[in-house]
Amino acid sequence: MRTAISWLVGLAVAGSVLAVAWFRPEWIVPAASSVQGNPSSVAVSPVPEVSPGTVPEAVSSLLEPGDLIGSGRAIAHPHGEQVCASGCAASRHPTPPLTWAKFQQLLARWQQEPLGEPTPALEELLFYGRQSLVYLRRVSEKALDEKRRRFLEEQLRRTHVVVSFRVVDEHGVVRVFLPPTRVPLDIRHEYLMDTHDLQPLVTSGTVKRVGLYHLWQRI
Amino acid sequence: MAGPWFAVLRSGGDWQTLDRITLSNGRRTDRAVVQSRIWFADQAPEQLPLQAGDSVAVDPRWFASPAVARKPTQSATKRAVAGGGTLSHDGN
Repeated sequence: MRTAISWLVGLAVAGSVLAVAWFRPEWIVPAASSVQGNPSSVAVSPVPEVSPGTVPEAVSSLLEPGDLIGSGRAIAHPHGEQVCASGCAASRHPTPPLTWAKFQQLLARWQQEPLGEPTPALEELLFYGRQSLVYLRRVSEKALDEKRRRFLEEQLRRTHVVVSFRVVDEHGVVRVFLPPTRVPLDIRHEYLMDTHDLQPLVTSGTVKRVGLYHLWQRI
Repeated sequence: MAGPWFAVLRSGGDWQTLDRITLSNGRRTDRAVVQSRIWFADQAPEQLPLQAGDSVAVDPRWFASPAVARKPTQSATKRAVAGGGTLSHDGN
């Protein structure tokens, strides 16, 4: 009995360590700082754990528990720095780091643009996704109109998409099909697709947000 | 498999054709289209009334010949070869 309890406790501790390493790697290895900006034009709420000019570089460090839980047909791969060197299918398509200074510029530009429309500054803020959300939560109430803040936060909280894929032959037969499958933005996944009268396929893809209504997909 | 394909899609839009390809299972070869759909998670349907092996209406435009025949690009050919020739671009 005692041995069984010891095993269970050991497994729980090991699981916790793995979960922390995956979801909060900065707790184990401090995230590298990106270019520092001067947070002078937008007031910042004091948040001790992340300075205003620092953004975690890895998307994985911005994930929250449960973010990678999908439908079971998509398997997440760790985010990395790889670019399109040995083939784009192997790339993680990392989003560049967003600096505080750049965020300030975009926020200032967006405040000159009409609310609720697919404008350039808004769509760039949306492209940076979770990074913009981290900074937005540090912008003081006085620095941004409440209506705009709610709109932007609502959009930035759209961190997941549902993808579907098919290959239809000239006779109208669906030879390959991926049912609607939930995946987080910016994370490369391998997909488990159904095939008909065709050998199994190895497929992967990444989705990034590129606009108010539009998404970029590599598959 | 051939690819990769890159596309910008509108959330909630209809199936978007990414490419026309040649599909072979070793016994027969067919022309086929590669199509994708995407939604923001809060707008997505839970299911699509579709599965592999189903039949769907073919839009003749999917397979219409281009007005001017084009040779496969070097990169497309390279990808098809790298993919083992399972799916290959047909010059689209």
